[in-house]
Amino acid sequence: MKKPLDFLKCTRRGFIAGTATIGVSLLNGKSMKSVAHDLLNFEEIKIPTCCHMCGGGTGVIATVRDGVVAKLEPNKYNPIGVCNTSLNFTENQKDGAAMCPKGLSGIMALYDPDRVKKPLLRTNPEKGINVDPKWREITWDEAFDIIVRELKKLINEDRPEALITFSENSLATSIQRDFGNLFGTPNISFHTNICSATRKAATMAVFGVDEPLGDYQNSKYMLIFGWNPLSAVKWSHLPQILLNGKSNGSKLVIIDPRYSETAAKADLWYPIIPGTDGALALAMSHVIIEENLYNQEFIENWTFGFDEYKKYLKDKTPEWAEKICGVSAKDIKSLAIEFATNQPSIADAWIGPGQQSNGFNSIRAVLLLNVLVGSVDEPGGMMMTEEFKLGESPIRISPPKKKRFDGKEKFPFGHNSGVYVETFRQLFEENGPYKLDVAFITMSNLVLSMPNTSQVVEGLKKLKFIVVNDNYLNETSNLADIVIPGTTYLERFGLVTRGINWEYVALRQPVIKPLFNQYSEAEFFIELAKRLELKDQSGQVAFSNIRYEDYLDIRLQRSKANITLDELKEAPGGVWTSPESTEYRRYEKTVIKTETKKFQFSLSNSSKNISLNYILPEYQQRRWLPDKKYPYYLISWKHITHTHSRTQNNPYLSELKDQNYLYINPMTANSLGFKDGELVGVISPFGETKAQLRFSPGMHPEVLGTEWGFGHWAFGDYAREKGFAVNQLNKFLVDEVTGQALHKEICVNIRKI
Amino acid sequence: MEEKKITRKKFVITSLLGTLGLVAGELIRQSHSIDNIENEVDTENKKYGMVIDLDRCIGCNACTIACKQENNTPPNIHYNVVIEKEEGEFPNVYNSFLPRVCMQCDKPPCVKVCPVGATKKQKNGIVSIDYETCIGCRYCMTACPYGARSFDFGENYYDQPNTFEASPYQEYDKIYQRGKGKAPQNSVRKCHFCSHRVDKGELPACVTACLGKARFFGDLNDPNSEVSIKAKGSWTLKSNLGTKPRTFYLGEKRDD
Repeated sequence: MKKPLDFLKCTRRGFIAGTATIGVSLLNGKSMKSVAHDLLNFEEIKIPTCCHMCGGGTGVIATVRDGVVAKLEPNKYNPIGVCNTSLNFTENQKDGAAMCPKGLSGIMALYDPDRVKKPLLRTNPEKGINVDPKWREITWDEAFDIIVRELKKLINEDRPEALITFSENSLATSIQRDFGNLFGTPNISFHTNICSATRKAATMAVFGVDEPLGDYQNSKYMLIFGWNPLSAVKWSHLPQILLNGKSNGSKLVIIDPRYSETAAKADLWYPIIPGTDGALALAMSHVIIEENLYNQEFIENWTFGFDEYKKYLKDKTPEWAEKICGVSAKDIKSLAIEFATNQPSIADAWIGPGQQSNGFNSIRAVLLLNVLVGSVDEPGGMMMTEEFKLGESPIRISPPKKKRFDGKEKFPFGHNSGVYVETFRQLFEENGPYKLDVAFITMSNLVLSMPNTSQVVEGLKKLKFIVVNDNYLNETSNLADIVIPGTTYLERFGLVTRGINWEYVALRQPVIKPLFNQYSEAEFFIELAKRLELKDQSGQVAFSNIRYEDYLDIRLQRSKANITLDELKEAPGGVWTSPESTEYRRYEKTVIKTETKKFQFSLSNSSKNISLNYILPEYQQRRWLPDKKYPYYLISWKHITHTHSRTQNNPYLSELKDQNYLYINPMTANSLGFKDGELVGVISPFGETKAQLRFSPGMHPEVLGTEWGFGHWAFGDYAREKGFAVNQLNKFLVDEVTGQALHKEICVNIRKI
Repeated sequence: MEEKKITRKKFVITSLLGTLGLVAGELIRQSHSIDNIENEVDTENKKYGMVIDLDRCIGCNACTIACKQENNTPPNIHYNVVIEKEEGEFPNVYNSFLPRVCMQCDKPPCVKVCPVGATKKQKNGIVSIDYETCIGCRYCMTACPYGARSFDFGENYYDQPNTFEASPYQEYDKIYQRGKGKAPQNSVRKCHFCSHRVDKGELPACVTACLGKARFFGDLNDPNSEVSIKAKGSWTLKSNLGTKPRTFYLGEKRDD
């Protein structure tokens, strides 16, 4: 099926020396066939592709021996595993690329015997959290017939908007948008709003780009709030560029309520009270202005609202912030001075502050530190990254006029991935703008990944018909009516364009045929569109002669890369990188994409309908705070060994980490009489669960914490009944600016059981 | 920050193997004296060694999994483990990661105790195990002070081994395929610096995948090799035992 690429031409027959026994059988002619043929005489090819064990898209070289994926290794032609600025690419590439343990466990995901192999039909009409759906295997035709019948009902009733989709990112994303447009529903939604929508909104508000990335390797000072890039390794180059930055003499400072894996490598770690990052950043800004350490020229030429900000900061002293965030005034002052005087510096914040109700302002306050010192789009500063854009879709159809179910337009910085929390709140409370009947859920375990598990389950039960497309049966598919077997990334096509500071597009391609002859997720939507005979704006049946490969091919040819899919397959490592290197100070050449066309301290000129406390990045307390009954903050994070709630059944990863713990400071635990390893009850106003305590001196004494993604009850054998699911303890809490789910805004108590 | 106060130690060990191995190693350290081994390395040829820079190790275990995949190791067998240790008292906390491979000792205690000569110090410095000769007595496992060896009981991740587990793969200069009772099952197994890759001019799988680029591998006989240069100023684990490890560490010296 695949041709090996030129640079990797290593197809070979006769795989080196064998054992003595095999050596003999080689001479035995026929008998060799049965005994030794498989061992000695096989074809080995190496195929470049991109990982999708998480959304990072690391470059991979897959070795396939006689049709079996035998090895996954880093692909050094793909910048994701190397670095994020072109400046460092050649030098870093000498050390090769990198892959994380999740990526390296991809083969065990591919060959997991627990995978769904055939479409399944629910035969038990009763639905519930622990109700057996009584699956019956059906043919693909039967599955499509049933789904088409359900969707045609919506068409006949002229309410296509009663269809909603939920999906993992970077997986048939644009195909689902096209499908939604063709079908007539605006309710196409994706993962981002339960992940990092707050940071995207904050960066849009400040910089006018949605994912600026720090040039850490060339920085002199790295100040990171609520992000753990050495364990929550979103892009596999992150550890290298941060550690190279350190080797080059940069200081690494971590602000986090827990002593994270990144804090373990930091020069300084400041444990902070959750949700107070904004106060710390504001006080730092106060000092930088007071001490006259800001970049006056940059501010005059390229920013908007400095005077307003300066006025607001007047009383945001280190002493004021100390009382809020727990970092001493003295330390705040020295941090501010160090940050401003060690240039270029980077201040960054992700979902630590971002998944709390004041996250939009907190992250803006942090990002504005870069603006104050002018470390924007400079080598070693915060880069104004713009993702490579694919060309237009070949499907010509305009978006439907109907309003979205989730009310995304009510959120001034709402993300186009939608608002999952509002969708489920309205489903549960039955007070949405209209009725939803049908949901497609693609590679998303909403029951585990959404806050407020029990009400998410009840919300899903209110839908008439649910199609889950996944590799596994899990907590969400248990509420489905039909389950469609998904593909692993080793079986499907895709294009990866995100994560570095110069334009690139990398190919994800099937390294073997889908194991169960199943449709890839994108092909599933294409096939469905064809069977529904959905028409484009010219009245032609869409996708009638366009396979997914053609779709990608057309969009590649229409992009700046201007290459065909076949040319991308033939490119070294399956990657096209822009001949233009990482560009610095782009704001001098192109228009800044904020409303004022400047980097914005303030939104006072915004046409968006935002409330007054969001004009400036004001500090406001987060909404849910500890009280007598629930005295501890509960934070949660991603550990290097797992992605979301979807990798816990991988036996390799399960051996590294098979459960989560409730981490507690030993001082706190001792004062309450709890022992290390004790099983305790964790209670919030919205739920209760059991967790195993683990003492960790790196936890802030007022904070409990855990890794997310565990606590499965309906996933495969390796995953089931291990650890606990933190989302059983929270409620439908949504950020009012962005629509982000606020996973980290939970307060709990623990008790003996 | 203030000076670190160390009030208690906590070992978080990433695998059961690591736990057992280290416990065994501690026992051996007290009871077993190391004599010189005849199998001195031939210094005229290449002598492989590894340097691990602990300042660049982030404890991600990419090495552990790259190795599992490369050597198709069964459950509970990890040629490479990362030992994680968090100590101190809030807020003066200290966390370290210590990757442990086979030290490929120049004076390997494991070689001496093998009754059938299955484990050997090769000319290139790698300590090897001949799975066909190994009788599974496991003396070498207790002799190794580093807990680097484990026994393949023939278990698989699934009752019916999955396609990958059952597929042919290479270790040393041989092709193996897991099947009932066949080698390397019922043999002792350990890290061999991916000798089958090294023979082809490739780096060990753990070095290739390392996220922090903390590992360096090469010829210690070549004074200009990266690994020789990096090895300067390095230290080894349990150096008091006289095993002369060929795996070196950079960064702050840990208790061993």
